[in-house]
Amino acid sequence: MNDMSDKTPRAAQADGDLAVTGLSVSFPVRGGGLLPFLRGKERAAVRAVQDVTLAVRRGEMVGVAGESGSGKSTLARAFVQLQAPTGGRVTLGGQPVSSLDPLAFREQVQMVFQDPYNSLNPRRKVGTIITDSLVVHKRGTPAERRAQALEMLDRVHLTPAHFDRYPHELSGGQRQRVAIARALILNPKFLILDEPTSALDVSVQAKVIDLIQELERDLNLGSLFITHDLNLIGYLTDRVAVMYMGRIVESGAVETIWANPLHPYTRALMEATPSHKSVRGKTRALLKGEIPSNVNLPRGCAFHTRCPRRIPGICDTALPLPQTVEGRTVACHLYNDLPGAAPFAAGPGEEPAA
Amino acid sequence: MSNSHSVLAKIGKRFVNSAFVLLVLTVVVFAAMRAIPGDPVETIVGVEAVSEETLAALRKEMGLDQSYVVQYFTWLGNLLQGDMGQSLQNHEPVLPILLDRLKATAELAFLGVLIGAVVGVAAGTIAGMTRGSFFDTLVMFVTLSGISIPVFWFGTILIVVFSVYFDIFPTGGMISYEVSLTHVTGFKLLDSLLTLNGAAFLNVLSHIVLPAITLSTAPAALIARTTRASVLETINEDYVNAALARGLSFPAVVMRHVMRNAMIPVVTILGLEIGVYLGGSIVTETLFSWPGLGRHLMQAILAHDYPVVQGAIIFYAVIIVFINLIVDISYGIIDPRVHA
Amino acid sequence: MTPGQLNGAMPTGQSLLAIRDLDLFFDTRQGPVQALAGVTLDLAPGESLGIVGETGSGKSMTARAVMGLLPKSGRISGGSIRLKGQELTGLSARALRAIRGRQVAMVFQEAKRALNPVKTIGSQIMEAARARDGVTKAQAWERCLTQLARVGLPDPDRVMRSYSFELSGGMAQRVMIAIATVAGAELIIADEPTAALDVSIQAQILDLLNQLRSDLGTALVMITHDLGVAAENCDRIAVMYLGQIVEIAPADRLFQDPRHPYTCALIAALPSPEQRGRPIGEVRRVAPPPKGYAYADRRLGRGGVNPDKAQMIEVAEGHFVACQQPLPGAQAADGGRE
Repeated sequence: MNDMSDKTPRAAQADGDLAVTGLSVSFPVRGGGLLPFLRGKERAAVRAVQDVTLAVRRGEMVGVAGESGSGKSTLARAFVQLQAPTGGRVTLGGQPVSSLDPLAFREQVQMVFQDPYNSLNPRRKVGTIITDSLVVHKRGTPAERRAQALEMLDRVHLTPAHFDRYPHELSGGQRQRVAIARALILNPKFLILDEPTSALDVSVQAKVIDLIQELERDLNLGSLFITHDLNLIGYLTDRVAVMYMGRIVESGAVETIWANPLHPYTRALMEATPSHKSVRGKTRALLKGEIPSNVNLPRGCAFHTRCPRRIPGICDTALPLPQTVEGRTVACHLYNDLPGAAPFAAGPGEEPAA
Repeated sequence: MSNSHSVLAKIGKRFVNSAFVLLVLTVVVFAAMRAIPGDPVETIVGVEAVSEETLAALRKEMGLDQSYVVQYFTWLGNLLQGDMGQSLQNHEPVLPILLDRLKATAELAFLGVLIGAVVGVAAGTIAGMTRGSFFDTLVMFVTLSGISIPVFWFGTILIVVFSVYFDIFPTGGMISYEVSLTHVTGFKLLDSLLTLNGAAFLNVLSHIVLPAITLSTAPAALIARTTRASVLETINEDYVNAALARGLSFPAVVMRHVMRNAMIPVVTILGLEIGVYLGGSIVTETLFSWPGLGRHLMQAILAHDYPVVQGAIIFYAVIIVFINLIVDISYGIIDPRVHA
Repeated sequence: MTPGQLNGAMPTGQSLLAIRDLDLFFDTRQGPVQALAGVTLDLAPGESLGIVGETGSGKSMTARAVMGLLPKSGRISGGSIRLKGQELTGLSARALRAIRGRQVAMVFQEAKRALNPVKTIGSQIMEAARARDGVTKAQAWERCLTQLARVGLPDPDRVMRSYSFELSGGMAQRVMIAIATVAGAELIIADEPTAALDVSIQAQILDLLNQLRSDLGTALVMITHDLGVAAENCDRIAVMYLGQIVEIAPADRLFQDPRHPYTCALIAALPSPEQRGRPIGEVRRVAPPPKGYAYADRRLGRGGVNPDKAQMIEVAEGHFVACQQPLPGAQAADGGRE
């Protein structure tokens, strides 16, 4: 399994962890209608997330990196129960979240979305937006709720004056602070952040990132930070899971992986990420070709179609098993036993035997 | 990717859906007619004192003594065989009359749509391209009036001014009594052209101008406003800037890149407006004594002539469904993404 | 500090593009809003210049001003834009058309939106190819195929017949680059050409742009918010802030020795693995800034533009920093905000 907590003494579902185990999410492709169903054909599906196991502990930030189609946003939505998994399960403190009261779950796990322009209702004032969850969860009197919201505004470095403003009166950075305040008002234990700064300018992003770090530290939050920006992951998070076509290809401590990425995809992604510290005209191993479609996933390792180190006959037929190599988990045939020698437990496109 | 197979499959699917819509409509029309207070038999008989037995005999003869369910299925069964029954008033078969009347309506509606589309699209495009100009302001004002003015009032004003006061156009009818026209297709403008009958052509034209303008005013206004909004939106698209950046002139960009994209919502509106046209045609035809489907329907409703009313409404429904089908197909011609 | 050496790049004669003191206003209901204030820069043939800045810095408007594609409410109120010595401001629509596509071409941020969805790729690239004088239809078609192949699109014939919705974002951007280069433009203005793309695809597109630049000798102005992209792909970088160029320098110099406080702040705000554990967004000034620079107290006029026009002073060869007119004899502390 792509379990990055295998190697640690704590099991994936240790008390208090928010975890997904063997999680898969697929969407049926629209159209097709009744006829293919009657003919017994398997309906085409977008396989957004496949067999992902990942845990977030309190007090740590886990980064999820990937490009379009990697499934990182779907994974985030599955973590907060906005997306029902088609396989596997989500657990909170070892309890399957499906058995939890939805309100009780929401009290502990909250989400901040990418676009601060769409995630706040334009017709409601900031104060209403923030106190809304308190109303839903029947907490406090109106006066108490107001006091709590004002305190939260202060926490995210906004002023009481913002309480009566509408979202359109705020800048992008301020809106994202409101979104964070809304997420934190219930005092959750976990925060799922889906590209919270990718719509913001660099200088604004820096301040929001500083705020997120401060809050995480002060409130002992566990958080999942979804982003396509490897520089940000390298700066911000404790552990990282790199996703490609719905699967985790490499995961572990950020410092370990950044020092020496093992999966060819991680390596290529890092090389492709522009940095102002790079030398001009540096040569980099460009990934050839396009990101494949989630409907017709390549057989075997999904990355083999673009992989510079593909082993013919193996990578295109069998799914690589996650292995613990040099202090991180990596799913790549290069690190399986001898290429070509080992019989592979899993058939192509199927889940590996546990 | 587009392929002819999937296009045909889509059209086929639309046909099935349309048939279902029409079937539901037959139930609604049938029920609605029965729900209107009044009795067709008494309407036919009029004020004369007639015995109950006579009335009952008449009812039996017309099949009105049976239960509604039996009446409905009898009617539906006949309808599916192309038999719309007989008029309760004059016992003539409904279908041939309606088809004949439909031709007159079609001629009027065709001209109305043509005027509406041409004037609306042209005014809307120029207004959109010259946003904020005098012409734009004028178009916005005139179209707002066009949408707001009721059809019957506008038609009446046209008659008063152009027929009564200036006496340029006749007040009503389709063709003057003294003008002779050989029957070829039944469409009078077309027939006069086919038979090279200039006098008849001008005569029909003079009859059709006012009702066609009356009919097209509100839709033309709506089309103009939709076109304007659509052109304004399209003009700000990146691909318009990109085309300008390639060195194309602004008029060339409008012709090549703006118009076709801007027409997509206009076609939608045009399709929806067909219902308005047909609704408007009932008022317009009544107003201008135009011997079309709408006027005939009006008369039949007043006479509780069930078969005629039901038949006419089915006609309207088929026309609307058919035109929407054409609109859907035309999306595919305008916008290649539809097949994707 | 004579006007000729204003930003010291080169005398106007050698420049492919020379922008001098460009002022741009937008007419709004609240009155005119200044979008560009005294933008001055030079570009040599074959050179690549990055213009970086945040939202509202005027970087895109600078690009659009060169293309003559400003929004209707935009008005150039002063300054000049010269392309190979020819003044572009105030040019007639006809004269401008002769320049667009043939001499300057543009690549847009979202290629799929810059392609007309209801027209084939072929019809759109042909529009550009036929802009060249004396090209027959058949020759233009051949050129299109060649150019599509050159930008790395397999099966150009098929691409010609496709629509934009049938292409991926990366392929669409390759098409846009083919359109930009098919008529032999000497200058390509790329407005955030890779901002909408995935990292691995972004790398391919940047690589392609660099390749074409060295093959065809085309100059490139790249507008970007991503300092990393500019650093890796541009010879020189201009940093814009609130309608002004606050600093312009060779790429390596700019990152090694940024002088303007805004540049410093921008660089400091970039997250990177090396920064781990330290808060970002704090300015750690590398060298003292020139006296009286524009950013000193962020005294901004209505509409967000500094009312006092800054002057560029050269702090090292080819490295210019915007600076208010220094007060004679004033030895005030630098006044930077840490």
